[in-house]
Amino acid sequence: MLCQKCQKNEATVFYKEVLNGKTHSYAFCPACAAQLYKDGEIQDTSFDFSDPFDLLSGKPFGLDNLFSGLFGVPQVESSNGIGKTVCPDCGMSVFEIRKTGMAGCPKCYENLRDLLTEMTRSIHGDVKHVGRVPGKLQEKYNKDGKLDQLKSELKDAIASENFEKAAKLRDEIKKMESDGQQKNGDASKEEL
Amino acid sequence: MSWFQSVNTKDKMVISSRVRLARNIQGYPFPGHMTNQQAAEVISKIGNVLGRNGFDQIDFKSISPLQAAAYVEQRYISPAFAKEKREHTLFLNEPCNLSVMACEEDHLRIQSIEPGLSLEKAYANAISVEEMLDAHMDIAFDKQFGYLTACPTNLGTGMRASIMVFLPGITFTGHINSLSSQLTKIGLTIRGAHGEGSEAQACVYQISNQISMGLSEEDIIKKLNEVVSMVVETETEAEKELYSRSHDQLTDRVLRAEGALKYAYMISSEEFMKHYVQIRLGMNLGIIKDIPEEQFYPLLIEVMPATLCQLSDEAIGDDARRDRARAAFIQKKLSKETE
Ligand SMILES: [Zn+2]
Ligand SMILES: [Zn+2]
Repeated sequence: MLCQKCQKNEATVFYKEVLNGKTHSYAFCPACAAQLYKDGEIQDTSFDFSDPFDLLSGKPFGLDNLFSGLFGVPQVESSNGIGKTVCPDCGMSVFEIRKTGMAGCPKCYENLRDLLTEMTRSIHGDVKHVGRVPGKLQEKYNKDGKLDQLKSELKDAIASENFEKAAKLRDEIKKMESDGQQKNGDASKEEL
Repeated sequence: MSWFQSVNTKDKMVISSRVRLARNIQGYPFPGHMTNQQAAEVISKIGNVLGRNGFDQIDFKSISPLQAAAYVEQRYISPAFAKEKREHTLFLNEPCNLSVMACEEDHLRIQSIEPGLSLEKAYANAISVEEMLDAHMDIAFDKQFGYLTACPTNLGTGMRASIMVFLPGITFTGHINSLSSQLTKIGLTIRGAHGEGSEAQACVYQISNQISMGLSEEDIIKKLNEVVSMVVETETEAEKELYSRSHDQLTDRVLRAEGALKYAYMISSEEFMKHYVQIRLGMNLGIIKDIPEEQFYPLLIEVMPATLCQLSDEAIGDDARRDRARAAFIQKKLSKETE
């Protein structure tokens, strides 16, 4: 497989990190791995990497073990276990975003949601937007909010055994949901 | 008249209120990663909407460094925007105190500034511009992250609300650091509003929300208003304490400062700032009664280097001539009677 940073050389260095509860695996060529170490993206104090390039390229077969020592996790993953590390829309890598503290494009937030959720949490404490939404989404959001409210009312009604009210609410929810589907159906027809 | 020349004498400690909204357009990388072609496209989309709504388009390639510096001093743009090398354009609606920086760190930085304590008005004005733009383009938004911005520090509402305050009492009684750490605990921040170093002299600070996510726009404004009114109360107390603790020394300092501004033949920005603080403090405490507030307060921005040149209608290059022009400008203002 190809190195995830340069997308050119064969990847021979693998490592894992746990981010936001999920494990991400990375694969790099020796040159990129050495550069990342130099840039401080990969850190360890127990090894002397004074000449990391030589060390890494000189030991092509011992690398997996070397890095598993660094990160304390078992290494070498099959290529389908490798997580997404580059935003396909703008080409920014997880490493660049970490290093600069900035996203490359609005889609980074969707493509690299875990990383950016973690970064955002460390800044704002919580990752839950409250407040304005763009005009075009307002109708949808109001409706979502209304549905949530009806559903919670329905729960309360059932809990307090107010079945007459519960039946009414259930009808109302059904109607709202089917309206939504119909609308979506129409929209996709138009696209066709 | 620009915002810094109109005075709200009701709020003696509050100089201005500002609201800034960060927005981006879907389908384009953030300005740091755009090609010139993409930047030009984004700027023209923005210009199509704002041009029809009373905004002048100011191309930064064609304006003088002096003009750019004046925009920074008057807080219509950020210092980073003035220095920006990439494609970027300012849209300015000076009569409404509105500016839109296109392709700063984000595609859109919508900014509204009002004299005195007036965050609600500043917010309403910024929103009116946002709505115009929102109606004509797809603004990048995510249910979880809110408005998507290049830097995650601006996510959520994308809003930075800030109030410029004058706090000589709290500064001279040595309480700024303790105020700062208390504000940090509640997600607000205070910093010197006149750049590094000079801030202690100027006693002008900016209090703003540090956290832009998890609170609605209205709640951020409400919180800031509550905090600022408490800070202003504390400032009044601190000034009274200062006055009762060292009545004679304070009176002497204030009157000497008045003398310097009235009679100096040349005056530098730094020296002006030092005296300005003393005089405003003296006006608050009633030591000085005959200087009209509406003439004196605006000097804060009016005699800054680039704005001074602009208001005196000449580009004064060397410091000595500028210091002379500054002294003359101040004296002309101080000789005016209260209207
Ligand atoms: Zn590589
Ligand atoms: Zn991206």
